[in-house]
Formats: sequence, structure tokens, C-alpha cells
Amino acid sequence: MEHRRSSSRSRSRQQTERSFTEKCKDYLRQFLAFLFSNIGIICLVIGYTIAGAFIFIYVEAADHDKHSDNLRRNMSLTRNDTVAKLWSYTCCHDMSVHSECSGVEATRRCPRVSYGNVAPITFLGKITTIAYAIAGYGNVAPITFLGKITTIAYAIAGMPLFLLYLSNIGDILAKSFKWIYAKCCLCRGCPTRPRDLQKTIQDTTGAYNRRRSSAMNHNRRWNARNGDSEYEDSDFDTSDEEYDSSEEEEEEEEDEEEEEEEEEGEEEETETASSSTAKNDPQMVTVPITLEEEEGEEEETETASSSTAKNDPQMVTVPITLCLMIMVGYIYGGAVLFSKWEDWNILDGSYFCFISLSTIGFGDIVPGDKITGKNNDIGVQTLELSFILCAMYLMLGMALIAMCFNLMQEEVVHKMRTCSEVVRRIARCRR
Amino acid sequence: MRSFQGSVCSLESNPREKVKDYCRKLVAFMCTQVGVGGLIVGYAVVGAFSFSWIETKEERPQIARVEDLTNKTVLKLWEITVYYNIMNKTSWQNACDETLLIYQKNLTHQVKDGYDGRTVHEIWSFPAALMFSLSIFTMIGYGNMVPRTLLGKATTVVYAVFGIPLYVLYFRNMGKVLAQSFRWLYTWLYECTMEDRRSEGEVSPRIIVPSTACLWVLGGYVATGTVMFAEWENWPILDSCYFCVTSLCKIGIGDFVPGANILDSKSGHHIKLIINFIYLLLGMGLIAMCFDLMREDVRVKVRNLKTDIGLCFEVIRLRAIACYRQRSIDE
Repeated sequence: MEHRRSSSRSRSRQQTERSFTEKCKDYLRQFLAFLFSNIGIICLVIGYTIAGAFIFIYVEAADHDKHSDNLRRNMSLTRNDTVAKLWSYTCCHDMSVHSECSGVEATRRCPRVSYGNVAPITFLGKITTIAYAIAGYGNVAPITFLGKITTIAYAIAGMPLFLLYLSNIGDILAKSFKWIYAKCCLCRGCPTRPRDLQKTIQDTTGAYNRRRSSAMNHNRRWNARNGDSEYEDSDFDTSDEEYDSSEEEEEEEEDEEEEEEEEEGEEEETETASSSTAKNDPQMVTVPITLEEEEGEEEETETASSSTAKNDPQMVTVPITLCLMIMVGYIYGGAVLFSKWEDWNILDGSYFCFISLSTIGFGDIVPGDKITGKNNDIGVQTLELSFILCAMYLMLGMALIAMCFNLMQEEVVHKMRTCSEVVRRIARCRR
Repeated sequence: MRSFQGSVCSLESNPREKVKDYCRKLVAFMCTQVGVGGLIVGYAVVGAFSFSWIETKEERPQIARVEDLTNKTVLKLWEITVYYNIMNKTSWQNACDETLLIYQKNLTHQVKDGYDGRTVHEIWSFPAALMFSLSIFTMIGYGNMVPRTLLGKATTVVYAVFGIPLYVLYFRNMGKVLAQSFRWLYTWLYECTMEDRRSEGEVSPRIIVPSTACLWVLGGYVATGTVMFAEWENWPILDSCYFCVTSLCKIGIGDFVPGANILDSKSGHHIKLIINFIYLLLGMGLIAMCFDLMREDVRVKVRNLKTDIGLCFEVIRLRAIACYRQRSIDE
């Protein structure tokens, strides 16, 4: 259809034909991009999980039932055997001596049999979290030959998919989180700056302005450094000032994504304000030349970066503390949630959340233990619900952690770059 | 790389530059495979010591409870025997059966709580603790031995927080280094075998290791591990292979863990466990290497595929044009 139409269109001109192939390529590319984009990946991951759950149920459940039946029969057999042996001891030998010995033997025998029966069945969600989230809890393990081979194949196929999911979702979440951070947190700090500030260039307003912009950036260190250079007479004035200016560069970068035109003028003003404060400060009189020089450099870098990153909200660096707070909050929320569901205490819950989210997965504490321990009939529905919720919690949590790592990596790289810049400047100055 | 740095260093006469260079070299050494490998082994050893110290400080209550349970059961059996006095066999047997059933249920609960008949000193021996700390920071998490005390759990969390970035550093570094050396080896072999064909002496572009070679290496590594564990632990081949794959994929289901059998035999298990440790660490590095190499390979292949698809579309377009022109001429 499409092809014929386009070919009919190509009768008129070569150009449309050209555009048809381009379009086809575009469609293909878009389809592939969609397949590898967030939604496609999520669908793929969920589908893979569910398929894996069904495969494992199909492969393992029957044999698992047989296995547990076998165990149960074996256990009762052993018990009968033990009783018979006890009887023979009691009957044929001297009672007083041997009863204890036989009791000990009975106790020796029992635990070995009952050991295997501990793990209850219900595979859905458990295998999900096992082979999928690589969290490998280990309280449900495949027993049969086929099950083991399936596990190997499933893991090999699932690992790259899961890694793809993690990187993709982490990237997207990081971008959206940055956007939200840029829109909400940064803009609330500076509600529609008054234009008339541009006229009044005093060092008080300049300092105020700088203070406010620094508060806007949530950059407390910068603020402290700023305060140092302004109010304290220290020996490291030059280094402080350099640190200041380099941090200011960062601030400018962060400012730029607000996409406002008067931003430029504002920055100019801040810079001039800062230089005026530097000139007014008696300690700073010795270094204006280097300062000017560096500011010239900054202008260059600014123009270089502003051309590329003018309307790019991705240049914000979210502070590390926020990421850490998000992670800790997520783990704590999970702990509260699980402690409510499973009657764990908070410490156990947070331990479980941490172990799961870091994909360690010991399997000593697993949700659903409480319900299967008591009675299977009532608890199955809640059990499966709990497993599914747990799987969702883990999926989301891993994506969140990937996001946090993404953001933190960026922040650390940024900080390192700033630090190396500062060190280089110090080294140059001392010479 | 190093020789290049050395020549730069010799050219510089400034002492500060020299100091800086030394610092850089030190940092580079610390960040190379040797430093990171040593760091990670040291970290594991420290973790093993601290975990075995923390966990063996107090005996777990389950053992005392099971002891208590056993004594009570034996007492009850004795009471039953005294009560029925051997006269009535069936009722005696029923009573005994009931008692044993209760005992079994209680024991099952204890087992679920983590009783496995061993004291903490038997469980937390040094090699086992080493395996435990390895399973933490490599994120394998076998789960055959877990911290039971409050302090142990908190230590596990802290240990993981610091250990995992270290491990990731190791992983990346090892992957890069191994990939470089493997690439060099592959190039060497390739040039050796292709020497007669490349007699005209053209310099070939960078040889990319095909992903099949990586898969062969991984398969060989898994096969080696399979044979090794099957030999040592008396596992069947399939179980051994299952263990290797689930460990190297960092799943760590933990139904098979080396060491359970070793502890029974009590002979030379230290060396075996340490070899096991090295096997796992090296395997992680190999996986990183294969990841590195295969990514490159896949990238090249994807680029080729892209150009192929572009050519394909071009051909289709040309054919469509030709067809259309034919038809218009016919008309």
C-alpha cells in the first residue's frame, strides 16, 4: 500500500522516492528504537519474567510435588522404622541402658530427613526474583535435570536483557529526575528575579544575589567558601578566590538551563558584582589581574558551553546527598512496608531490602515465609500477591538505584573535574 | 604507555614535576590490576576475619533449644516405656510415634530458623568466612551461611556498601587488562597463522576478536570449573556445571556450595577453598573481558548491519525506479 502510493508519487519527482526510502528507514529505526526504548524494554522484561515463571512451573512443579511427596513418605517410613527399632531395643535389651541411646539415634535420624521439606513450593514470583533480578534467593531451587538446564539457559538469556533494562531505565529515570529537579527545586528558589537588580550594582546586593543563587543551587560548600573569601582574613585568599571562581563556573553552567535570556545579563552582573566585591575587599587587591584573566577564560568556556547547552536541562548536577537520601528513603520505605506485611521488625526489613536491592540475595529472610509456615489454604492468594508486589518493588528499586548511580557518577565526575581544575590553577599560580 | 611516561619524566627536570609524576605513578599502580587485585583480596581477608570474629562471639540459641528438645523427647519416651511397661506393643508404638512426630515438627521449625546441627565455630571457619565475604561483595549471595546476630547484619550492610564499588572497580579494570592481553594474544596468533598470506606486508587494521572466541574461552573456563568441582566435591557433572554457571552469572542459588563436603573430609580444605576463591574472582574478570570484547565486536557488526541495510534500501529503490521506467516505456 505504502509502497505503491510512494511509487506513484515518485512518478512526479525523484525527490519523493528518496524521501520514501528515508521514511522507511526512519520507520525501521523508530521501531527498533521503540523496541529498545523504555516501554519496549519494560514490556520485554515483564514478558520474560512471566514466561520464565510459567516455564519453571511447568518444568518443576510436578516433579517438585513428587519430590515432596517422596520426602514425606520417606520421613514417615523413617519414623516407623525408628519406632520399630526403639521397640526392639526396649523389648530385647535392658531398658534402662538403651532407651536413651535409641532416643539419641532417633533424633539423629529425624533432622536429616526433615531438612529437605522446609522449602514450600509456589514458584510464581519466587523464580521471578531468582533468575531475573539476579537476586538469587536460594530457598527455591530447581531439582530436576531439565529444571537445572532451563535455569542455566534462562539466566544466560536473561542477564543481558536485565542489564539492558537497568541501563536504559536508569538513564531515563535520571533524565526525568534531573528535569524535575531543574524545574521544581531550582526555580522555586528564584521566583522571577527582578529586572531592576541589573541597575543597582552594589556589593551588598551582589553578595546577596550570589548568596541567593548559591542557595538556589543547593551548593552549601560554595556558600561556605564564599563566606570565607568575603569575611575572613585567611592566608589562602588566592586559592579560595580561585576555588570560588571555578565554582562560579559551575554555577553558571547550572544557571544556563533555565533557558531565560536575561539569565546572561544576570550572570554578567553576578560576575561583575563578584569582581567588585573582590576589589572592594582589602585582601583581594593583590589578585585582580589573575582574577580578570580567569574571568576571561570563563567567558570563553561559557560561550563554548552555552552554544551547546543553551536549552539543555540535562546539565544540572543533582547533589549526591539527594541521591543518597532517595536510596535510603526507598530502603526505609521498603522496610516499613515489609515489616507491616510480614511481621518483621524494621531492622530485618531494611536488611532484606538492602540485600535484595544490591542483588546479593542471601535468602535467609524471604517474604511469604510467615504465611506458608501456618496454613497453605488461606494464604495462597495473599502469598502470590505478596510475591508479585515484592517483584515490583525490586524492579522499581533496581531502576531507582541505577538512576542514583547514574546521577552520582555524573556528579562525581563533575566534582573531579572541578578539583583538577583548581589544582591546576593552584600549581600554575604558585609558580 | 609506561615507557612513554618515563621518557616524559626524564625530559622534565623540574622536581615538582617529578614528584607529581611519582604520585601519578603510585595512583596508577594502585588502580592497576595488581593494586586493585591486592586490595580486593585484602578486603576479603579482613572481611573474613571480622565476620568470623563477630559471628563466633556468641553461640546461637537454636543449638541449645534442639538439645533441650532432644532431652525432653528422650525423657518422654522413657516415661512412655515405664507407663506401658512393654506389655502393650501397639499402644506403645502409637505413643512413641506421636512423640516422634511432635519432635519432628519442632525440629523442622528449628531447622527453618537456621539450625543445621553445627556450632558457630564449625560454620564460621576461616575459609568459609572468606567465601562468605566473597559472596557479599561480588553480589553472588549463596545464602548457605548468613549472619544471625544483629551486629553481623549491620556489618554485612556496611561491608557491602564499601565492597561493591571496590569490586566494580576490580571488574572494570580486570576486564580492560584481560581484554587487552587477550586481544594481543589473538592478534599474535592471527598473524602467525596468516603470515604466508600477508607476505606483501600491508598493515592490517585493528583486528577485532570475534565473539565466538570469547564464547569459546568462557565455555572452556566453565568446563574447567565443572571438571574441577565434580572431581573435588563428588558432584555429578550437571550439578557442577549448574553451580559454575549460576555462580559466574552472579545468581548464586546456593543449593550447591563447595565446602560442605570439604568440611566433612577435613583434609586440605584450606587450599581447595582458596583455589575456589581464585577461580571465582578470575572468572568474574574473564566475564568482564568477554563483555568488553563482545561489545566492540557487536558495535562493529551493528555498523556493518546498518550499512548493509542502507545498501539494501538503495538497491530496492533503484529496482523500483527501473521497474517504473520500464512500465512507463511500455505504456
